Amino acid sequence: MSSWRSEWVDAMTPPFARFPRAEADEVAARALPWRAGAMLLVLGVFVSLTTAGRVVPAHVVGTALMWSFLPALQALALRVALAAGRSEAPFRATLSRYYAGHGPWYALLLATAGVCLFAPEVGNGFRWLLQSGVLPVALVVTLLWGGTIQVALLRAVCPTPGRTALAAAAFYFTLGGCIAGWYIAAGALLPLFGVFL
Amino acid sequence: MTRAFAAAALVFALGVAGGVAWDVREVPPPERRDGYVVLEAEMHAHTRFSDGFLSPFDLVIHARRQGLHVIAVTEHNLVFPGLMARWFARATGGPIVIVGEEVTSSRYHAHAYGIRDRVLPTYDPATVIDRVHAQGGLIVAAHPVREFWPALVPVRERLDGAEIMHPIAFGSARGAWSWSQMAEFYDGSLANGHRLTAIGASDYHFFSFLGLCRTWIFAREATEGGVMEALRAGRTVVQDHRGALWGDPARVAALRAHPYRAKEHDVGYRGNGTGDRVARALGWLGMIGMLAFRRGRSGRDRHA
Repeated sequence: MSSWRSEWVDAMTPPFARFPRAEADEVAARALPWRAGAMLLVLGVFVSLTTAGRVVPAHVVGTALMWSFLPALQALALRVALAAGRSEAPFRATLSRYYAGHGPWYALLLATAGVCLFAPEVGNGFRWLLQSGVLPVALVVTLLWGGTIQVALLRAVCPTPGRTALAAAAFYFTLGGCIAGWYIAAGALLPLFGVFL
Repeated sequence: MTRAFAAAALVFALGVAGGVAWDVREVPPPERRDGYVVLEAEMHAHTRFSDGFLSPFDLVIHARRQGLHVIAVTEHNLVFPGLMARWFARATGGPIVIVGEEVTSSRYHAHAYGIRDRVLPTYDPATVIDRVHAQGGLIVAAHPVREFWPALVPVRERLDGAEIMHPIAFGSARGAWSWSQMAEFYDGSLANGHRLTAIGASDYHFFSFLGLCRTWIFAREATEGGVMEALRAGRTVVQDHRGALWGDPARVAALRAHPYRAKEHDVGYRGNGTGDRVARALGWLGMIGMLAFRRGRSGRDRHA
């Protein structure tokens, strides 16, 4: 493997079964703060570029703080998933590897920011990307790609395929449930379906 | 750390430095017309607490960047993001923040402006109107397209205002929604002898487009109380996508006699010159570089 390749590119490229086993647990655990921080940094840079058109520290820091619930929720969901999958893998190392699997999302976010920066007419650019199906397809590809990487990770740390499926279901149920729970608690979701409490 | 990663980090730092240097956030002072100060307002903005991207603090910063004197934070069925934004704006020098809520249901959307406590949507919009007025607030129909008419038309003459300009006017496809339906809703009220306060709003969720559709508020003074008084009195003017003016007939006549041009604002990422554009590209490339050159340890550690 060539030495320039990034940990994100390693995780993004097949065979996906390789990356969860590619680094020692202590190395992965040591990389956890950087990987979690990188996620918040990418989110901050994306919001800053798409809002101000430039990297403004106030937006990067503000976004990183206000979106910090996301890696925290993902950590919670992974904890539940590992329990459901009867995994004995060390949590910090597994969480670090999970964050290393976010490459497809980073690519989508930074590509979108690139459209804002470089398209001659941004509104028309996004309209074309939407109407031509490029953006929806990119979103679906990102979802599937990210999901594949994540299932590969869970497969590497769960004892059987059945347990892997259970862990994946537990992960998405926990993450989705927490997010939906917020919107329900905020009173923003049920009225949209005509339910008035 | 590899040399390539360090170089990417340096490029990113240059992008950040440029971002700080070229980010102009000074709001031009409001002009006067017809004895009033003309405040440029964005009356419909969301935050990340529902389906937006920005925190309430970032929203305030972006409002300054877009030259807005007033911003109404109208989160879906929530008030606290507006309170956060108002606290931050007061601590950092503006703009005026109107604490609001977009009362959101499957049957109608309506803005509550100038409230303290949130008003949950009910099946019956008349109850929502009563609850907003009981707090001393104003209630304004949000994008009143035909889909929402069954709920809104029966109470239209009890509303304080309605959005008459919205990004759907620019043709951003959104199902069966069309701008002409909003105009029809507004005109229908006029025909019944009730002039709704005209509101132009961008329904801002993300990207640069805050302030794309604006309300010009003719206030006695540039304060929160002054804005609420002007809205209550209906002293607003909105310019639609064709350049036509809607709203208070006296103020429209005054603007025809002495035209007003909206403050310059950048919703198209044009930037402030070549240096700004280079810095933007550096920030973007630097971020990509830091991800691309953060070296994986696979080969070495597999055998460790």
